[in-house]
Amino acid sequence: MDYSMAPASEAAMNPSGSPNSSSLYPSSDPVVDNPVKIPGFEVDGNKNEASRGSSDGAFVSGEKEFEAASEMPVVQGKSIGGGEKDTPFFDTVEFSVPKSEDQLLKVVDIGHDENKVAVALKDAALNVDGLVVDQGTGIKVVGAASAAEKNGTLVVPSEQEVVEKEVKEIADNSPSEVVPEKLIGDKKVLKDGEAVDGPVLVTANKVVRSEDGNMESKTLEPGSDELVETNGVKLTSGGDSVVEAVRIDLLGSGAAVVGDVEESKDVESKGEAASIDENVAVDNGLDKISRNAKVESIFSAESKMDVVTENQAVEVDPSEGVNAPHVEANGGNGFPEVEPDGISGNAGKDVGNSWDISEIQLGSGEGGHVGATDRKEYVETEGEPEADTESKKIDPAIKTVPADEKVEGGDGDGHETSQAVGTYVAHGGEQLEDDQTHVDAVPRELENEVTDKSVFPEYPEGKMEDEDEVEEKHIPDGDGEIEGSATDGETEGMIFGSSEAAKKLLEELERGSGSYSGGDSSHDQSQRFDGQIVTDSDEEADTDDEGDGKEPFDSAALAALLKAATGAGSDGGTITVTSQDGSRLFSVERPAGLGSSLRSVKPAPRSNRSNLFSHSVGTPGADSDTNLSDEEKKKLEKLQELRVKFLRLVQRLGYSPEETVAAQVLYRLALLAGRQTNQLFSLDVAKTKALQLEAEGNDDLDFSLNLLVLGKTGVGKSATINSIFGEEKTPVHAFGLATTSIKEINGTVDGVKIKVIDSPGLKCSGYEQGLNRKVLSSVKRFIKSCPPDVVLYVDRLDTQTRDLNDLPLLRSITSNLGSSIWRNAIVTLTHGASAPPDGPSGSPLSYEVFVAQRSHLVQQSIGQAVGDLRLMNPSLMNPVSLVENHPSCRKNRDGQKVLPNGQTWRSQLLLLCYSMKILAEASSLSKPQDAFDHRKLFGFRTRSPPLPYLLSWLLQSRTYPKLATDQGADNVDSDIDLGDLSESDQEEEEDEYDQLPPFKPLRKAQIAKLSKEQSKAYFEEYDYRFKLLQKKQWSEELRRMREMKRKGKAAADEFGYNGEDADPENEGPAAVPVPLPDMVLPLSFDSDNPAYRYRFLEPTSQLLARPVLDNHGWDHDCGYDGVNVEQSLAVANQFPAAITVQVTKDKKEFNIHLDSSISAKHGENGSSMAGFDIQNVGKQLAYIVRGETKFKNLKKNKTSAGISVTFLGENVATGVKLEDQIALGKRLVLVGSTGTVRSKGDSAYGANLEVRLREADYPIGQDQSSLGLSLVKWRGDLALGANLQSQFSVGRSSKIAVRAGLNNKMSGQITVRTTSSDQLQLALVSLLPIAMTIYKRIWPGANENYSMY
Amino acid sequence: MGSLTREWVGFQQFPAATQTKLVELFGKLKEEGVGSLTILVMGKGGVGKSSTVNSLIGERVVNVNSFQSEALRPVMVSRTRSGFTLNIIDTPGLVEGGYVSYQALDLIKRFLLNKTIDVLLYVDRLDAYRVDDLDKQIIGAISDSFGKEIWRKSLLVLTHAQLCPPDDLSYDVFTARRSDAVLKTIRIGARIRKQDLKDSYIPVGFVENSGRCNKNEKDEKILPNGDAWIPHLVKEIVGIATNGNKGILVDRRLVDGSESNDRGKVLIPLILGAQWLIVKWIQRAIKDDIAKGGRNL
Repeated sequence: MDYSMAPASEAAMNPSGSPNSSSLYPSSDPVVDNPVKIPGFEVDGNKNEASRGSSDGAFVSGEKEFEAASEMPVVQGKSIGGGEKDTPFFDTVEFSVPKSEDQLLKVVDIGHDENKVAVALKDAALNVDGLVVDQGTGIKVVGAASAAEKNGTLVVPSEQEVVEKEVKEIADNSPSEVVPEKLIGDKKVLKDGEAVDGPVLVTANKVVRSEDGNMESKTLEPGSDELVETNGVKLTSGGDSVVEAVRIDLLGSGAAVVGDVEESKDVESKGEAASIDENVAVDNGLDKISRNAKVESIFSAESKMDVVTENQAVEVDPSEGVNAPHVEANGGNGFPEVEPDGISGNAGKDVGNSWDISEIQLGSGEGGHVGATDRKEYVETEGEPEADTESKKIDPAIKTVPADEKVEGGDGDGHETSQAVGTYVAHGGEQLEDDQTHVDAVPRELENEVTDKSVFPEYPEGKMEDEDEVEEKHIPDGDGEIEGSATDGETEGMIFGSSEAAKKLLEELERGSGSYSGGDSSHDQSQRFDGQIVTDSDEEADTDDEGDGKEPFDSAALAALLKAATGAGSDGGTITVTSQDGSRLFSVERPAGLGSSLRSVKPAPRSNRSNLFSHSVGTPGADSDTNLSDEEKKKLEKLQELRVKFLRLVQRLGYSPEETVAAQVLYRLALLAGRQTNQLFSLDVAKTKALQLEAEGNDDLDFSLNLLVLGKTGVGKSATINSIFGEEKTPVHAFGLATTSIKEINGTVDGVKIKVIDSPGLKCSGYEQGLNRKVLSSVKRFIKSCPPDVVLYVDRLDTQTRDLNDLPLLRSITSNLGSSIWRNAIVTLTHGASAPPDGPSGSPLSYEVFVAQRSHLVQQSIGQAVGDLRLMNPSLMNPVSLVENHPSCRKNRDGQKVLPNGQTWRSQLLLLCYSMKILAEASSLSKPQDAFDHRKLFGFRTRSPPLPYLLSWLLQSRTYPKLATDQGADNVDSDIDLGDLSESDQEEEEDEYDQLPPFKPLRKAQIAKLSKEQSKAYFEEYDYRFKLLQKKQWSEELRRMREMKRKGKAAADEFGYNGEDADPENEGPAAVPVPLPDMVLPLSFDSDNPAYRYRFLEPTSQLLARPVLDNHGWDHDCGYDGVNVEQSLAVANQFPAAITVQVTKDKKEFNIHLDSSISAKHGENGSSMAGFDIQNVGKQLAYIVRGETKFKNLKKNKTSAGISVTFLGENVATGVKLEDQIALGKRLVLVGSTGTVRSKGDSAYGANLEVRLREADYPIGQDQSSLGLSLVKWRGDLALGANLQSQFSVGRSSKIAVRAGLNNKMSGQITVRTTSSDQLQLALVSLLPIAMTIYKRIWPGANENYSMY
Repeated sequence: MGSLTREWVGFQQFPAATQTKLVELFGKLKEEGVGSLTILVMGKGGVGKSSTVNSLIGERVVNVNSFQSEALRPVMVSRTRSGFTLNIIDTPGLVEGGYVSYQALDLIKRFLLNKTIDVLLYVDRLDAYRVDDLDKQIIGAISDSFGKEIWRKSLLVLTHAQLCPPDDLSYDVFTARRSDAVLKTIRIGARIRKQDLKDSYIPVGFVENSGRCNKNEKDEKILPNGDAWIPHLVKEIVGIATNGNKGILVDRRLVDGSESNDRGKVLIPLILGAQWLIVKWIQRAIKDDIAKGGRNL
C-alpha cells in the first residue's frame, strides 16, 4: 500500500546501499510490483510448469505402469504338492497326481473360483491389465487357497490360477485315497487339488516397486496357497471379449483415473472433479466387469461413466510412483455405485470414496448401504462434522444406487458363479489409501478430494481379502497416520487450505448440507473477501495518498491475483502459510517497514466473521443446550478454554483473530465443537475473555510448546532457534558442525514456554545415511521422553533439490523416527530472504513463485519418502514457513525481521506452531468419543468376510484323516469302493498277469537295435505288462485290506501313526498301496539340484517337512520361499489327526496356512471330523473351525454334513453344508453339495454338482475326467459356473490335461496342458540362446556403439 | 552430440571492458599456439553449471531450470571468434538420488570420446556451508573416470558468489574459507598426495550468474569485493590451459576403463611352460633319488 515508503525504508535500512545487501531480496519497486503486475501469469505459469512436469512425468510413468501391467502379473505359483513336486519329486508327481499338479499349476477359473481380485497396491494398472489379460472369468485369483482338508492344501498355482472346486473334488476322491502316503507331496498335491476348489488361488502379484521403493504393495505369493492374497493382482480371466473390451477401456481409463486423481491432487484442478469421478468410476467398472452380475447392472448405471472415462485419456500419474495407480484403481473400484452421484461431483466423495471402499467392503456382508454407512461413520470418527456431511452426502448417493447390489457391484466382483468374489481389493485398497490421505485432510480438504473423486461404491465381497488386505495395508499405514493425522492433518489442512479448494469444497458442501457449506462458503467468502479486504484495509489502515491511489489498481488486479493465488495455492498456497490468497500477495505491496502490515491483512470483515460462525452456529438448530451430556459439556468447556488460550496467544503475537491462520484455527475449533450453539462455546465470549485476561497481564498462560528441529547440516537449524528465542542460545558456525549432539534448549517467548530439541545436522548424501542412524536414534530417545508438538524440518530455500537428492535423508528420518513424525511437521525454509533465481525466461522468478515451487518440491520429497500418498495431496502436505536468520535481514518498524513479501516470519512461525498444538489438543478432546463411535459401528474397521470364499472353502470335500491301518479300507471314507471290486474280477486280473508269457525287458542297447515297429511293439507289451502288474499289486493290496477289515480292528495295531513300523509287512504296502516309481535322484551329489537340498530322508516318520516351491519366482532365485510341515498322528491312539502348516515368507509378506483335522469313526458307516484352519484372507488371518460328519447310507451313497465357523478379524461367519456322493458303477461318481455361509446378516448360498469319470484301471491309469457345475448366490447375485476337466494319456509318454471353464458372466478359461517325458526335443530349445550368443560374438553388429543408457 | 561451431555472437554483449580483457587473454592463447580451448564443466546438480556456461558464452545456450532436473546428456557449445574456438561442455549433475551417478559419468565419458579436455571447471556453490562425503565421492569418481591428472588442469568455480556472508565474516574471509574447504575436499577426494600439492594447485574462480549481479561503472559484472569476475575467470582458465600440463585426451581406453584383466596375459603361457618344466624336473629328481636310494640299500 505504501509504495513510496518501501524504497525509503529500504534505503533507510541499507544506507550503504552496498552490494552486500544485495543477497537479500531487494524490495525495490520493480520487484515489488512484479507480483502485482504479473502475478497471475507467473504464478500460474510456474505452477503449471511444475505440475505439468509432474503430470508429464506422471503420464509417462503411467504408461509404463500400464505396459507393465499388461504383462502378466507375476504370480508365484506355489504348489506344495504340485509345484514343489515339480522338481524334487518330479516323477512321482507326474505319475501319481498329475491332476493335482495340474490343478495346482493351472487353475481353471470356473464357477466357484473365488477370484479375488488382488490388486497389488502398486500395480493398479497392472491389475487392471490383469483384468484384461486374465481370463474373463473375472476371477482374480487372489489367493490360492486350496484347502486340503487334512493337510491343508498348499497348492499354489501359478498366476491366475484359480483352483476350481471341481478340481478339488476330483482330485479329492480318487487320488487321495489311492495314494495316501505314497507321495507325501502328492498327497499334498491331492489335497491341494481339493483345496483348490474352494479357495482361490493366490495369485501373487509381484508388486512392482516404485522407484522410491515406498510401495507397500505386496507380492502375493501363491505360496500362501490357501490364503487368498489380496494384494495380488487382479486376475480376471478374461474370457469375455466384450467384457474385456470394456475392461480394457476401463482399464485405460482406470489407469487414467489414477493418474487423474493424482494429477488432480497435484494440480488441484478442481474442475476435473467430475471427470475424475468418472474415471474412478470406470475403474470400478473394471472390477465389475470381471464378475459381478451386479457389475453388469452397475454397468448400465455407469455406462455413462464408462463412456466418459473412455474418452479421457487419463494418464496414470505415477508422480509419486508408488501407489498412484493402485490407489486410483481402488478409487475406481469404489466407484460404481456411487458413480452416478459421484459423477455429479458429490462433495466429500473422495473421502467417502476411499473410505467407502474400505468401509463398504466391510459392510459387504451387510449390504452396500451398510458399507456406506460404515464409511460415513468412519469418516465421522475422524471427528469432522464435515465428514459427517460428506458421508451423509455419500449415503444418499449410495442409496441412489439400486439395491445393495449396486454397491457391492462396485466391487467388481463377479467372477464367481458360486461365490462372488470379485476382489478388487487392490484397487480398492489403493484407493483406500489414497482416500485415506484425503480423509486425513481436513474436511475441507476432504471435500476437495471428494470433489475430485467420487465415492466409491462398495467393494465386492469376494474381494474381501483384497479389501482387507488393502485396507489393512492402508490402515496400518494410514491408520495411525490417518487417525492421528486426522487431527493434525485436518488441522493443517484446515489452516492451510487453499481458497480454491475451499471454494470447491464449499460448493460440494452446499450441495450436501446446509450448515457446513454455509460455514464453508462464509469462509470462502472470507477468503474472497480477503482480497477485498485489502482494499478495505487500505482504507482502514494508513491512509496514504499513494495507498488510496493504488486501490483501484489493487481491485483490478485482485481478480487476477486471487486467481493466481488460488492457483498457486493449490501448489503452494495450501502449504505455505504465507502466500495463500490474494491478501498475502497483496501484502507484498506493503512495505516491509510497516509494522502494521501484519495487521493490515485482515481477513473477513466483521460481517463475514459473524457469517462464519453464525452459520455454523445457526444451522445445527437441532442441537440445543438441553441435549448436551455432561461429557459434551466438558468437552465444550475445554474447547472454549483452548479457544481463549489461542486468542491470547494470537494477541501476544500481534495478530488479530481475523488473520488467516488464526481464523482457520478458530473455525476448526468451532467445527470440533460440533455446531453447538451454546453459551459455553461462543466465540465472542471467548474473545472478550481473552482480551480481559490479556489486559490483566496475567502471566498464567499455561501453554508450552515442544519443538524438534531436524534437518541437514548447514541449513540453519541452530540459527533458527536463536532467532526464535531472540538470543543466541546455541552456537552456530558457518563452516563446521556447530551442533554436535542433541541439545535441549528451553526458553520463554511471550510467556509461552518453549522447549526446543536441537539435533546435529543429518547427512544428506546417500552414502552416509548410516551415520544418521545414530543421531536419529538418540533423537528418538529424546522424543520418547518428551514428545514434540511440532517438528521443524529445516531446509534451505535457495538450494535446489533436484533428482530427489533429499530422499535418502528423508527416508532415514522416516524409517528411524516413524512416518508419524511428519504428521505435525512444519517445513521450515531458511535463507528465506534470498533472491529468487532466474526463471527460464531469464528474468528472475517472483518471490512467491519461488517459494511456492521450492516448498512444493520439498513436500513432494517428503511425501515420497514417507511413501504415503496422503502427502502427495497438496492440501495435506505439511505447512511451510520461511525463516531468515541473517543479521542484516530487513526489519520492520517493530524490529522484527521481515521477508521480502512483508511478513514477519517469526510470528508466523510461532503462530503456526501454536495453532498446530491447539488443534492437536482440541482433536484429542474429541477423539476418544469418535473412536468409540468408530468401533461401535463396525468393529475393527473390518469388512465383512468374503463369503463366497468361505463358502467354497466349506463346500470342499475333504478327506478325513485316516489311520494307517484304515487306508483303503472299505469304510465310509474310502473312495475306493471295495464292493465294486469283485473278487472274481481281481482274480481274473491276477490270473491274466500270471498267464502272460515270460517277458524279459530289454536293455537300452538292445532297444536301440530294434526297428521302429519292433520297438513300438516292445514298448506296448512292456506297458501292458506293467499295467497288469500294477493291477495285480493293487488287487493284492485291496485283498489285504479286506482281510484286515475282516479281522477287525483289534488285530490292527495303530502303528501306522506311531512312527515306527512295527509291522513292516503291513506298513509298507499300507503306506504305498500302489507301486509308483520313486523319485529319481541324481546319482552324484549335486548341490544345485534341489532334490538333494530339500529331500526329506525319513519317510517313516510322520512329521514331514518340505519346501514350498514358487514356480514363478524371480530369476536366479531358487524359488523356495516357504516350508510345509505335515504331521499325521493318532490322538489317544484312536483318533487320527493330521496337521499341516505352511509358512511362506519373503521380504514383504508372511503367510501362514494351517490345516488341522481330527476324525473319529462311528461304526462302519460313519465318521466325523473336526478341523481347524488358519488362512490368510485378505490381510487378515481367518480362523476357521469346522466339523463334518459322513455317513454311508446305501452301498453306493455317502452323505455328509458339516458346519464351519470362521473368525475373521472381528467378524464371525458361520456356515453349513450338505454333501452327497453317489457312486455309479466302478467308474462314475456323482457328487453334489450345497451349503450356505452367513455373517452379520449377509449370507451366501452355494451348490455344486460334479460328475467324475475314471478309467477302469484307476488308480493305475491316471485318466479321469470330471464335469462340474457350481452355483453361488450372494447378495442377490447369482454366479453360475461350469467346468470340465479331463486328463488322459496320449501315447506312451505323454499326458494331456484339459480344463475348460465358463461362468455365467460369459467368461471362461481353457487350459490345455501337455506333459511329455520325451525330453530331447525340449532340450533343443536351449540351442537358441547359444546360437544367438555366438552370432553376437562373431558379428558384434550395431550394439557396440550404443550407450546403454 | 556436438553443436555446430558458430560465431561467438554473445561475445558482443559483454561490456566493452570485459571484451577488451577477453580479447587480450585469447590473444595470449594464440601466441602459445592454442587455437581452441575445450572446457568441461562438471559438478553436482543445481550448483550453476549451465548458468555459468551461459554466462561465459554470453547467450542462453543451455537451458537452465531451477526446479527441474537438467538434461540428462552433456551438451557441447562451440563458438569461434577471430580464429579462436571455444568449446564448452555442459554436463548433467553427477548426483542423483543422494548417490553419485555413474551413469551420468559414463554418459559424459562417451560424449567426450576422442576429445581433449583442456580445462575442467569443477563447480560448486559458494553459499553452501558444508562439504560432505558426497563431494568427496564426486571428486573421487571424476578422478577415477578421467585420471588424476585432470586435477592439474582444473579450476574450482564457486557460484552464487554474490552473497552476504553470515556470522559477520567479511566477504574475503568467507570466500577464502569456503574455497579452502572445497579445495581440501578435492585433494582428499582425488587422493592427491602432499608432495604433488605444488603441482596441483587449483585456482578458484567466483561466479555470479544471476541477473541481479551488481555491475561496476564499466557495466561489468562484479563480485562483492569489486572484481569483475568474467575476465578473472577467463584469465584463470587461460592460465590453466597454458600451464604446461597436457590436456586429457578421452580415448577409447579411458572410456572403457582400464583393462586390468588383460595385464600380463601374455605371460600365462610362459608361466605354464615354466611350471611344466619345474614339474618335470622335480619328477626327474625324485626318480633319481629313488634310484640312488635303492642302490644304497
